[in-house]
Amino acid sequence: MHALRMFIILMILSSFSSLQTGSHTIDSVPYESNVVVISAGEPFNNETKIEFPSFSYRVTLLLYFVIPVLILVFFIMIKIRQLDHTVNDDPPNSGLSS
Amino acid sequence: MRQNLIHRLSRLSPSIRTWLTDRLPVETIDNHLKNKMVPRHRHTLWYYLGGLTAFFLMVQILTGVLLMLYYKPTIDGAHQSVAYIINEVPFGWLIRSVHSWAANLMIAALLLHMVSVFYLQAYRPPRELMWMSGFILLFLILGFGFTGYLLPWDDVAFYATQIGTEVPKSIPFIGPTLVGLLRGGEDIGEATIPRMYTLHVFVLPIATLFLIGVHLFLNQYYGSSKPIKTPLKGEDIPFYPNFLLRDFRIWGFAFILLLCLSILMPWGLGEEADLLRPAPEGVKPEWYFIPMYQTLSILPSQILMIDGETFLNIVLMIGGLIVFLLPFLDRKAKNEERNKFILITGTIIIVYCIGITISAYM
Repeated sequence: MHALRMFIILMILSSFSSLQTGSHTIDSVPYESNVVVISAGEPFNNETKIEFPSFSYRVTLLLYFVIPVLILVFFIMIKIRQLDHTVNDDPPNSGLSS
Repeated sequence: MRQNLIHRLSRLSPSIRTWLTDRLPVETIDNHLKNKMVPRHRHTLWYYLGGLTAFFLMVQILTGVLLMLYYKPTIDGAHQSVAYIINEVPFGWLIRSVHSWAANLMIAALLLHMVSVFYLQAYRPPRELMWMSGFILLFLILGFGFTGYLLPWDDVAFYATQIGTEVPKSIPFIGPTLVGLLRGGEDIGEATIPRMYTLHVFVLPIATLFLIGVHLFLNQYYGSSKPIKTPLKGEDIPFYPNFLLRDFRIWGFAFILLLCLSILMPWGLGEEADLLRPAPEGVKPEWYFIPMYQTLSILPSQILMIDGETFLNIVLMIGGLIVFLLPFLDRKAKNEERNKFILITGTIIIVYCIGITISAYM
């Protein structure tokens, strides 16, 4: 269990460090240039040009976040199952139920 | 054996454990945590919505603090600073996008939470104060949405806020003063941004955190409400740690949803607001204000010899007061009976709000 925890922590840290020092450094993020963004799906036309990182970069970033969170959720679910078993295993009048 | 606080402390080294137990009322805290039990039944799913709202609020506070480091609440600096956050600040676009999306998800979760409490009639005694504090919290959270919407100072925000601040103008006696206080003058301009900003980052957070404290204390004290005439599925489970871990599981999925929205559909920024430009066609306030805005647009200008806007404001104030005092008005719920009149009336209002919101976007 301890090794798994360390694995999760390392995975999260490596996700961030690879974003900073790996193929996608902050300075070399492949920005999509001249993207016209319409604010929050509003119907009329806006001309302001703001730049977001490219779609491929954003998908990579999403995976860096989502995978550790999913692993964390998986371990939470195991813990829930363990706790539920201990509740069910408690003898009656153990003071657990009000 | 159930893992309680004392059990967890026993894992620490004896010196740290003794130091902590000498200084903190560990047993009292543990007993307090053990007090809250969560019933299991076919509506248990709805219990997650309150925690989910709290999760999104925590995200809002964290991202809001980060945005404050770069945002400038002035008419010249507001739009430029938001553009700077998006274009220049490392991960600024992501933080801003998460803040905007989480605001919408928080309001959605809060509205669903209120609806679920209404249908489960969890407002019945002794939880009247929980309902009332929750009702005020709803208005405070909507206030966050309203005040935060103007801060980027783009076209959409400017005109939507102009429309939004027109509505309370017709409130009898206090309307014009209230609008004047919000706008800092006759129209939205230089004085409006600092006012909205102060409300958004100082006044509303203090009031909200205080009321959340009250709401959570009452929730801990009374525990979760059991729905009327609903068979239970086995024994209640302890909130700490069993249900709290279930909450964390839902928060994990909510976080993934939030990231998917924020990263794949990053929140944009329109053209800088121009006070002299006429309002473009099709400007609408945020989706959670649409029912009120759309109702106003279909009302005749005069109703019962009263101005249409004033009429709507009076109806909304009376309706709000009825909802606020619902635990005292629903006498059947006090006796553990379902009040069909209140449930049907509530359903009609909810269906109307959903219907008119959908029609506004079609």
